[in-house]
Amino acid sequence: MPRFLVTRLVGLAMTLVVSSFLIFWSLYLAPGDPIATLSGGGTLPPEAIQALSRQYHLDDPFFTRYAAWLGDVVRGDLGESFVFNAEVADLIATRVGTTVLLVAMASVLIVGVGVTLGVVAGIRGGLLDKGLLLTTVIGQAVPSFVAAIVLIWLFAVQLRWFPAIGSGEGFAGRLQHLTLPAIALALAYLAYVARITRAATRDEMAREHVETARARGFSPSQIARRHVLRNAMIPIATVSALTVAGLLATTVVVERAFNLGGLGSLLVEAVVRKDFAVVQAVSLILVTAFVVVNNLVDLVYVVLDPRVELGAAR
Amino acid sequence: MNALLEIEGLRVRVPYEGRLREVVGRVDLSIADGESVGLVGESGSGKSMTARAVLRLLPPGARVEGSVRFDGREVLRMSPSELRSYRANHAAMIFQDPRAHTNPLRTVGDFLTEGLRLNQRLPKRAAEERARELLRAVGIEDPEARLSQHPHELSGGLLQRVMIAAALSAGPRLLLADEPTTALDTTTQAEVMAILAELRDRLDLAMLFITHDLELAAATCDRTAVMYAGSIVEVQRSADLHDRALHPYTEALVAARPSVHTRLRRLPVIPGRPVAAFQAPEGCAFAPRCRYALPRCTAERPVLASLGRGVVACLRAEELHPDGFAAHGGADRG
Amino acid sequence: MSPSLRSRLHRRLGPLGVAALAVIATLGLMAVLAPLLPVADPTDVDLSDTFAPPSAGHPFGTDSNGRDILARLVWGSRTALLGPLTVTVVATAVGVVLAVVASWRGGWSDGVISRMFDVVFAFPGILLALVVAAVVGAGFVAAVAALSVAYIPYIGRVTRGAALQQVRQPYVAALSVQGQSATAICARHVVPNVGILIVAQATVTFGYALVDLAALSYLGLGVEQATPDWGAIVAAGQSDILSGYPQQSLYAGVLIVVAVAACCIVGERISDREQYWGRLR
Repeated sequence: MPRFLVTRLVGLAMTLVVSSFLIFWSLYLAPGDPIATLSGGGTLPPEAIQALSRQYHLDDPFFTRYAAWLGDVVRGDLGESFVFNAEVADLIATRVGTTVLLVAMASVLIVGVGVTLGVVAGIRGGLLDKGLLLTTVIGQAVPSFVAAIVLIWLFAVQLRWFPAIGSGEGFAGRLQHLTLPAIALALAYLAYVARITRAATRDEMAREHVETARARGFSPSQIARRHVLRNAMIPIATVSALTVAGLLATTVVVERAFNLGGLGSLLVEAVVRKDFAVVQAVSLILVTAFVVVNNLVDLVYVVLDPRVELGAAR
Repeated sequence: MNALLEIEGLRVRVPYEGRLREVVGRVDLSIADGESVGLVGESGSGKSMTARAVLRLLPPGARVEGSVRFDGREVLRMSPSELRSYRANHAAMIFQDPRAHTNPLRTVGDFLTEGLRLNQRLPKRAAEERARELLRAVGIEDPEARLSQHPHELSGGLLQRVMIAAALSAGPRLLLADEPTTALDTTTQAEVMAILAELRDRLDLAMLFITHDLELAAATCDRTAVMYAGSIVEVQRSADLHDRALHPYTEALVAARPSVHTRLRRLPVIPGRPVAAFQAPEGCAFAPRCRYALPRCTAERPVLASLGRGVVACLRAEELHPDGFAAHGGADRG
Repeated sequence: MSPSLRSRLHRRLGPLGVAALAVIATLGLMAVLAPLLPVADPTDVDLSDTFAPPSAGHPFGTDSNGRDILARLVWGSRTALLGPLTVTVVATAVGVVLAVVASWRGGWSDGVISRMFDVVFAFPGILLALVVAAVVGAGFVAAVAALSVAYIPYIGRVTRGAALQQVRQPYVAALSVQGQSATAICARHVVPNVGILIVAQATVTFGYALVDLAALSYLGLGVEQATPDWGAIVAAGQSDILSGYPQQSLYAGVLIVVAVAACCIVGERISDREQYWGRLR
């Protein structure tokens, strides 16, 4: 396997291991003993305490506990939630769909609308361009929860086009319920991607090889397609991928704002109610996804830019 | 002989730091079929912009005045589709830095066949065959391998030859060369110049050769024009230029170039530094640096006028070259 | 402000940047001078005067508990701005020091510090704050601390890149040979040379931290219950939207957007990315 890829993967694995260790360790950083933390402060019958002890290997040395925990996690056993009185894995399974759908919808918006707007503004220039600059400066400053309340006010209360809360039934129903949340989630990132895309497009258009294409008598659309866009895709794709990673964190806020039953709102609830098992499990999932997406971005370069040789270190 | 290219009263202003600045003040130049003309000047002289104006390849926001006629047709007033056809089929340009001027993400083969496929609508196979021919014509022996390589895999000299090949693919009658050898080392420079000479001969190609190297231009072009601060100051047949420079600037340029044969204690430098058109003072732009300058040189702006077989823009030209007329007959208009 | 400094600022920032800086300064002043400003007491509950329209006594009206909205917004600026300021100062201080050490020493130190950046970078701000909240309990201090740590790599990585370039410059070797200590060289030369980059990053970080902290307060995991804070005000007013009283949430939201937008504008202007604004190359 190319050396470049191996280095990347090793780095990725190390980051994941250390992050998971930190998440694991956080349980023991809480004041009081682990049992108290896990049970949320309530008193438990002796059998429950025993069960917890065994599950978390509390009688074993520290690193054995970590290894065991990691092993469990990999096998899909994420422990039990005392607060929700269910298997953590089940809790996650029922909610992960909403989060995934929400993030997917937001991603489509960001890439579809954001990149398109940026490209058109970058190539056409003029009034459209100035308009885009103005709106994106404001747009990228709108936090997801502010976008949420504005959307709720505008569309749900004033216009009554969309439902204000809940996740909806069935696929179409879910799409409808998730439309406003997806917009709220995507807005700031969309504005940012549009700006970066515009800048990248403008940069490419000013490049010398585009001058060569003009000198050879190609039409503007031919030049745009074959030289401007193709080359601008690298920074655009990179930024788009990074924003998708950012969505994973912001989904927490949006899910609460719209009262959606996703992983994010589960996490917040678990934090409030001190349900450690859930906090650890969901954090681990989100962090892992975040790290993986961020690292995949590097692969974008390798695929799109022939100047980057697989054997070379970046 | 009918002029293939006639530039008259060309004036170019480009936006710079928020305002329009003049970079080409006045250019009058014509090129005949199959003739090569060198355009020499230092940075800021406006030579590159002049070449680009011939193809109307100006930066956004630039303003052009005057006339550029190719084969009788006014380039500056062509419609977008006429302009594209002109650029695709009749005039072509090669640039100084081939690496910057080729798309790094596309193969050499793509670069070569692009014009043929998009403009001439050749099918891919035919285009590739033509591409191989073109590569061989510029002296690249292994065309097949080159087609699938990317620009960063080729050396500067090789890439420049590829660019020449691409420029000639549609059979233009005029080649504009913007300092094509400046970025190359001397040996490669000689190779590329040799290829250009051979192709020109074979294809009866007219050429406008932009360079800062007066000797190179005079050695390789039929006529040489010299630009300073956005205007042409002298045009002569290269052979005549070798004998005697008419304009003080040209003279200073020649003197500043050390020769292998003469020993000097000091290099004769031109005091001051070259200016762009919009930085030029009143009167003659070169006056502040000219050893022959008189007070009237800073008051009156000289215009191109015939002297002997060439043209020169200098108020004291006749004075300084009293025997410039001799019996050579009428002047050759620049 | 001395006239030369003022004209340099004008040139660097442009009219828009200066306006944005003025906005931030105004908000900052509002936060600092809140106790002295002629507004009502933000905690004054008056259940007989809920959802009052704007009036002399209540320029922006009152909320569902009869509290003066303007007062809550003004006092809300304190936590809304002080929090991100702390985050930015701490993250910048730690990030820059680590970055400079990593670039100066290279080798093993650089490897370890870069890895640390990678690991912390794996935890987006909000996520880290949530985990910390789970561990030590929710609270403003906890949130600020968590975000301060989370943003270290954002400043650290950029600084490290720039510092690495600086350290390789010949002048550094020259000074070293002259006998200047590493700390002296870094403090007097390396850091100032990358200074503009650091300031630009810090400004943008301030904006991000503002959003994150407001989001945490919105979720109820930032400031304590009754404290006015823009994020908390948005949350408090959300249920009122459905009853037709969006004022509280909207005004607070607008303030957040304005503050963050101003930060982004200033940050970009400082780092001289004017090409994004349409100037000809």
